[in-house]
Amino acid sequence: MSVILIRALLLYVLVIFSVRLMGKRQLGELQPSELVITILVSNIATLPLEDTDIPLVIGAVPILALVCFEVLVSWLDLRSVRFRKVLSGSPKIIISGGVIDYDVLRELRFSVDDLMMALRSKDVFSPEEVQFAIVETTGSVSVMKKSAEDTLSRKDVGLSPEESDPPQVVITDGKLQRTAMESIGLDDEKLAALLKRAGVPREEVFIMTADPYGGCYISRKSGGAPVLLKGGDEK
Amino acid sequence: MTRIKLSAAILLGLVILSIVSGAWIIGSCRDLQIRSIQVEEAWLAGDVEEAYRLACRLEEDWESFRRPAAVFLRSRELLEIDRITSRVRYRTASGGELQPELAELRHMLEQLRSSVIPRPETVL
Repeated sequence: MSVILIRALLLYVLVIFSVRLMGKRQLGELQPSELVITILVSNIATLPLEDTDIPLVIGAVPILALVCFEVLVSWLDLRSVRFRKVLSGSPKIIISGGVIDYDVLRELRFSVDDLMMALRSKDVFSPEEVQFAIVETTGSVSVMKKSAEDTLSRKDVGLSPEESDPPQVVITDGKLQRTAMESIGLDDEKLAALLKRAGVPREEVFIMTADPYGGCYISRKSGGAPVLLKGGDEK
Repeated sequence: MTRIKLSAAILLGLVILSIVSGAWIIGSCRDLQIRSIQVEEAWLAGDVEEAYRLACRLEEDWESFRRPAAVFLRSRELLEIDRITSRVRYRTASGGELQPELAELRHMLEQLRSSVIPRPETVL
């Protein structure tokens, strides 16, 4: 029993390492090769786990090899368009200029229900609203609405665009997040000044976010209403 | 780029590991086969004492190979050879039928040896 427990722990570490090695690409939409690797890795990992007759190495070697192949193939994929086309296929246009291309739909084995479901997931409830739709290599559908159906932007109504960097979490559970502080140019002195202005001691901070313009949000460990300071606020 | 380098390094490590472990298994099996031939020769020459001594050495050699080999080979592949080496020593001492056991041992070691050599029949 303890052997199985230790093997489970080792395989857990190995699978986590493998997923991390494949990178964030793996955690989002899956490319065909990534889907195959994910299924294979999960299957191989169970073999030495349930059968102690199989050495752990026999399970670990193919997992590591497959993941390394995948990383190297994705590297080649980046370097060669032809290789990428062979490995991942190419996006297919299913609606162009508001016209559905039935031949492409048939080629993709995409039914009308599939098309409507994909459009609905993009908040489009009728194909007439669509100017352009593409089935990506991951199988997801990207939709461009007709300009008449599109939402207004600041530019459309003549508002000047506001460009601002997002706030960063600089304190979590009383602990400073140095990397985040550096990214918004916040040093210890400025942080102490912000906390003083907010009237909250550092040890009392549960979460604090700050932006490069002097604004911050502070939530206390003891609860209660959070403190909000806008950039340029003196109080 | 770190991931690619790390992957390339892991792949290289796996290739080296497979070559080194394969060479070690092949070499060890060959040594054990030679040892079994020595046991048979001593037995056929009527030198029971020498045959017994060599059979004990054969079992010791097998034991020292089996433990690390269990990391790379399925235990059921090793278990049968484990039984045969024990029987060889016993039969050398008790005067039972030794030659079929030694022939089977050599055959199983040969199978073990060829299982780690990448040939079309082992790969496919």
